[in-house]
Amino acid sequence: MRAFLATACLALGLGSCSDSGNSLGKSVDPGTQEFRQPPAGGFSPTPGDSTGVGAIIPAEEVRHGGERLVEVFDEGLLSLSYREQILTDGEGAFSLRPLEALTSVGPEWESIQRSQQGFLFRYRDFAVRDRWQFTQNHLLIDLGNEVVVAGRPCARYRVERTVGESRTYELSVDVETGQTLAYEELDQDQRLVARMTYETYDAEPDLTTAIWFEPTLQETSLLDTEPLRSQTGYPVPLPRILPAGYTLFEVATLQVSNREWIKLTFTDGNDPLFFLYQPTQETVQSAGPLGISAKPDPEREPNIYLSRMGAAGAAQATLADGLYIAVGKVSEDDLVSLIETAFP
Amino acid sequence: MDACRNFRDQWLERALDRAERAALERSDEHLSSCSACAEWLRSRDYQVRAFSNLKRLSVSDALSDGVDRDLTHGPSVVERALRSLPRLEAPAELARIVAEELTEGASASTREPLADPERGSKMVRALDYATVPSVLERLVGEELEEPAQHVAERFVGNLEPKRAPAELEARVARLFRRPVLLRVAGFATAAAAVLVTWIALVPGKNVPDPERRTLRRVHVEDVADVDPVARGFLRALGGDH
Repeated sequence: MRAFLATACLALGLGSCSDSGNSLGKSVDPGTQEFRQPPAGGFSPTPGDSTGVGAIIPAEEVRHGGERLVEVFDEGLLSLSYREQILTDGEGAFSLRPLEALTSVGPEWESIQRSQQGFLFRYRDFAVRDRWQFTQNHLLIDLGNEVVVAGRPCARYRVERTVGESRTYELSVDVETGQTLAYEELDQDQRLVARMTYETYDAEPDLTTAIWFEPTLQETSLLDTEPLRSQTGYPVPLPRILPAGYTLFEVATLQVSNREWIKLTFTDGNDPLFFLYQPTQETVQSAGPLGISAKPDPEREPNIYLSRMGAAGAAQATLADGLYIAVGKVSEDDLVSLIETAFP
Repeated sequence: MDACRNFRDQWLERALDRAERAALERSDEHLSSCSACAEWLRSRDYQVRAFSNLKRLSVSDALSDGVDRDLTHGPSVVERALRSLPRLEAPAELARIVAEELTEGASASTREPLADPERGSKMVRALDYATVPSVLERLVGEELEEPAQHVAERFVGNLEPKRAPAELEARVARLFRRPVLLRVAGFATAAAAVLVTWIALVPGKNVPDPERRTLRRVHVEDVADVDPVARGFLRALGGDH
């Protein structure tokens, strides 16, 4: 019970903290805080409207197919470019197949892309994952002009992250569906980090022959109405300090090759930040108090391994009670802090 | 966005204000027709009640010691936490509006008030403001209630303390001086305690401190060196270089 309350406190508490420290939340006129919903016949962006967050719809919620160009940059220089084919029914089923690499890649690139399409589809691209948190941490500016992407008229928006590390997105949003058909991500020095562009778009794709992605990870969301400990059967360490602007979004279990993980997803409204914990068999069986089981193993070297890929980083540490992992588009200090503040 | 999510977002925006919450629950039509939202609301009500009933716990000695260690040895968790706090700056939109106003004002001989009063009020609303800490408000209130008493206390606190005469100090010292045997016993007890502590923590065992809270950072070049699950998330977020 205490563990779950701590989780909930973390979410509510940090949410309210960000309210006091964030300027956007107070800049929104109470009279316009009701976010615009796209009408049945589509929506028309209004120039100057900075609260149209509800009009940007995640790709997974729009039935469509198409081909997309994906480009990844390293310190402003193109490091990876490829084309892919997306198909989704708008209700959860999808496939994301790599078509061709336009830059030099390893021999296993295509098979890796296919095996990881679940990760890529859910987490790679710009999306408003939590509307409330998004408005707390970002400024959405309607640029007031339209462009055509894959033959479809799109409204242009700029998204500026106003809390923590600066980041900017330039969006082209389909005026009929609200789906983001192109975006550019820029770092704090305004250098390109990533770009995605639909080259073709089919609003009525044939789904009868679709081969949908079958996830290899079995993910189950945990209930926020039940104590976390009673759902897992063992104590789960929870990070006590989060990077600026992030709050708890979801708690789930992951089954990967008979290994169970606890997955905490935090978000700043757009980018996800993951904290993963895999308890040892001893932790699961003893299920003792957290203060006893979760300490650095005195027999092992307490290292934390850090890896970086583009704007994202991962931290991994093996402690006496289990394996800790943190992954997100945050600094190395923030990743380490996420893990270090989780054990007592 | 569906009606359930819309209602829940609105409720969460008012979660810290009981009156606004109640008003929303009374007025929202969706709530009366959606059992899922009603169930969701019951669970949130339970959480709010549970949080408001939580006792305040005092800081443990172990935590105080940990914070002391953090503050005295290099970059600490506290420092990192402080650095991670959001900076209180004007919103980018406000900065842009002010910049525009200044640019327009530079060409005019006198500064004109904002053309649109509503725009002006929005700019004012956009400003972050700091509230007075409750403790400061209380202290000022107390001082205003009894100004004479507080002025007197402040003056008394500033007076130079008078030293006792030497003869009085000597008499007091004689009164509290312990017998020689008791003083020897005290020294012996202290020495024994030091000896026991030294034996318990004999140097050279090189046992890692189980209380150690910081981990040694090791940078890995090849992403294949991290766990496959971490690799999957990292590739998705980092763009799979």
